[in-house]
Amino acid sequence: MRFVLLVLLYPAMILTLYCAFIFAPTEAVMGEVQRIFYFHFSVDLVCFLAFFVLFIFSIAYLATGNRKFDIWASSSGEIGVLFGTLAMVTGSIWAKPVWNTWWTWDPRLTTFLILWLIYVAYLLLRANMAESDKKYKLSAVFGILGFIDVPIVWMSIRWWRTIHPVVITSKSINLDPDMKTTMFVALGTFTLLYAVLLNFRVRQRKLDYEITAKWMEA
Amino acid sequence: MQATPPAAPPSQRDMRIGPQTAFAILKKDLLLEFRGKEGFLSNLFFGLLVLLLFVFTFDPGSEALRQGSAAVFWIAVAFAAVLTLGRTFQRETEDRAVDVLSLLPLDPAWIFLGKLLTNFLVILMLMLLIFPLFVVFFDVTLTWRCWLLAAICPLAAVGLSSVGTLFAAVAESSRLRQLALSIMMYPISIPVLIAAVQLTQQSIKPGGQIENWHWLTLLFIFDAVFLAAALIIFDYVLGD
Repeated sequence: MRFVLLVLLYPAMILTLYCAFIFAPTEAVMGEVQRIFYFHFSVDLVCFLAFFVLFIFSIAYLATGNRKFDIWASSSGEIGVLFGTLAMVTGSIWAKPVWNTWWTWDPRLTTFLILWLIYVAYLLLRANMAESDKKYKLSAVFGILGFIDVPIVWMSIRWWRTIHPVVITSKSINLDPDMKTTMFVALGTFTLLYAVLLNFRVRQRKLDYEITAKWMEA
Repeated sequence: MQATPPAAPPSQRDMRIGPQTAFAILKKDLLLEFRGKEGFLSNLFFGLLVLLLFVFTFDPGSEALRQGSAAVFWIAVAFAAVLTLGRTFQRETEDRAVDVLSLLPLDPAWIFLGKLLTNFLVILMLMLLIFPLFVVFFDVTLTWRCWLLAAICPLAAVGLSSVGTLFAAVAESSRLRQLALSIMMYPISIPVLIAAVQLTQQSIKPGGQIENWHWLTLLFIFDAVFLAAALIIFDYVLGD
């Protein structure tokens, strides 16, 4: 399974690079820098997908107590934080020339930052607990509560930022059809990348678990 | 407990053990909190220090500090509260009383409720005592709009203590201890702090009026969601 995904990923990556840098027309106002949008948009959406997967597998772990679900949940969390970091970095690189600032407290950016903080906390929590069923249970609990918090954070930030004047309004994108195609190609590729990373990470963790179990027996 | 046949309906004694345990925990923890010197008093002093650090790092009496005074109050409360919350299960873990608690024939939600009530009352007390200090050092003009604080403080205290009590139990298993609680609690409770600061600002601003009641709604929603979630999920947190 994971090798099929990996084989698919290579041409998809090359196609995405081709689409983003050659096929898609240059944006009239922003110029070449706009091309980073395809990567930014994709890692951003896949980051949300990863946290949603974490949420679902956390519930599954609490319901069944099956170790496998904890491995899936936490692996997805790791990749989610990685993609979230990439989304913020690519966003900043784009924002500097276009908005003339690295960061702005727009509702979307602010909510995303808080989301990122919650899942970094999730990883830190896991990193500092001894391996046991209790660890898996507690991190599932935090994974679920963190996800429940997202809509409330979104609501509060939106109100908060509308009371203050918002200097820079959110970007409105009227995309050219070729740009739209590129956008979906990139999104598909990064979803595939997520699937590949997740599969390899889960396999690695399972092997690690098996080796530890064998070593404990000996 | 005497062994009862599984089919028998719960006796009155079984029904009462839940509330009784919650109340016993509340009483015990409040006594420890207010009698010991490592409890409430130290936290209150820490809250005062945080308040004053802001005065010293800004210019005393500067316009920036005056405009942000509501934020300073809530930062002081949040810092002092996390110390209180961190102690919630510390004593139980140290002498392994938590194992006994998890053996009690009752829904663990009752234990959670006892701990939650303690934290709620202690945090409310912290707010009540930090507020006069805040009024004095930040030269806050009290107007009739301050009654709003009587609604903001309990609502914020419910939110902070339900998230905090649950995560305090989680943090006991972490090597980071107190730090783990802060790391988990602050990002999740950002909505509570934003709402509390917005409402407080409106209630102490001279010559203003209260608008944006929706912040109270937000506090209600946060409290309801996390109180319910914590009560349901606490079962998984206690014991091994």
